[in-house]
Amino acid sequence: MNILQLYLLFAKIGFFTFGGGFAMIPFFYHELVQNHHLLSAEEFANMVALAQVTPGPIGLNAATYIGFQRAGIWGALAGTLGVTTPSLTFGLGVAVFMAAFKENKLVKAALQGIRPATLGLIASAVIFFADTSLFTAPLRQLWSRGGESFGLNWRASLIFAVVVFAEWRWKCNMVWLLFASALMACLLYLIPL
Amino acid sequence: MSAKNSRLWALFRIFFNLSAVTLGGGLAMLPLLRREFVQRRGWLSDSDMVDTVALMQAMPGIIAMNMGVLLGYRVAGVAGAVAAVVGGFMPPFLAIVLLATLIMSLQNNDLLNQAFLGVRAGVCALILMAVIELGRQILKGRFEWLLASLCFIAIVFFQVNAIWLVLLGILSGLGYYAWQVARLGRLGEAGK
Repeated sequence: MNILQLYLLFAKIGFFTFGGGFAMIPFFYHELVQNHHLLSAEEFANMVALAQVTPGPIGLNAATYIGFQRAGIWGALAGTLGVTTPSLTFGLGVAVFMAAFKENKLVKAALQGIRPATLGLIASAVIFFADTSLFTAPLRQLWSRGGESFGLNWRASLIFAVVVFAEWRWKCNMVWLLFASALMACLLYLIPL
Repeated sequence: MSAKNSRLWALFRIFFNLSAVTLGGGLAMLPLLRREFVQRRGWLSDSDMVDTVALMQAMPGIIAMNMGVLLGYRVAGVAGAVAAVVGGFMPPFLAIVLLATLIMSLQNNDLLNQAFLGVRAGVCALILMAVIELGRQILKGRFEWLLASLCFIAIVFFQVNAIWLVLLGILSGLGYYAWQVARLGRLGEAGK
């Protein structure tokens, strides 16, 4: 994949993402894993996980990381510029015509549909991460292939439960929770049980 | 430095700093932006901020970058928007390039793989909590539930390209509005 293709790919993803960060995951996944086979599902999940614990917006980090991995520093720049293009074009247009946009009934109506659709996309990202951590085989295969290879990874499930509890009970800082998850995983691996 | 240039430089610095310290991005920046733009510098009023946030949700792309464009433009025109965006994407760009070099050289290390497994499980839990939180705000009626579930099932079980689902969302939103207008017979009542 050359630099121009990388740029166009990320610009395309950017233009169709509403609601930021997590909502971008299905788009990235479809294009990078299913369409172009640039990464495996697990590599992709690692990349998103990494984007979470580094400073800056998730979508931007992911685009920079993939661009760098595919084509070095220029690839990283192409990814960054691609995913920023919607803000610099469409976004700038909105800023200029802000008054007209704000009270437009059709914009409001479209948003009424975009919000629930985006929620569905984010929810699908939960299953995607469960597929690459909690479950031993993708959930959708439960129907096509039966439950033969389907199971739970107990280490990942334990960490999942701890994080859900901590987030629900104390509203912890997301990044500390993820560092704690990494630490727990290393300890569970080093301590033979 | 002229007043205009000092504003551009300030915009660049604000977004550079915010981007460097805000982990997880997006809306987490909001309180910090409010402090800079409204309280410290008095460039905007609180109601300007509210308008900007509402508008931002209707824009595709990265939330933090859209915020940079909208706020930068209001403070210093097109050059302001560009200054904010460039400031915003520099720290993550540098951080990722350094980190990616490190990670790529450590691949296939057992312990690192386990650490990643843990982070994936943690991210899974965090997204679930975000979905529950967002669901409380978004899922107000049957229309929202139906559309959200449909998109979820289409992706998880049928691997539909998410682009079609966003378009479906836009069309259903417009269709739902048209239906409300037709039912009420008055434009003013719809959309409530």
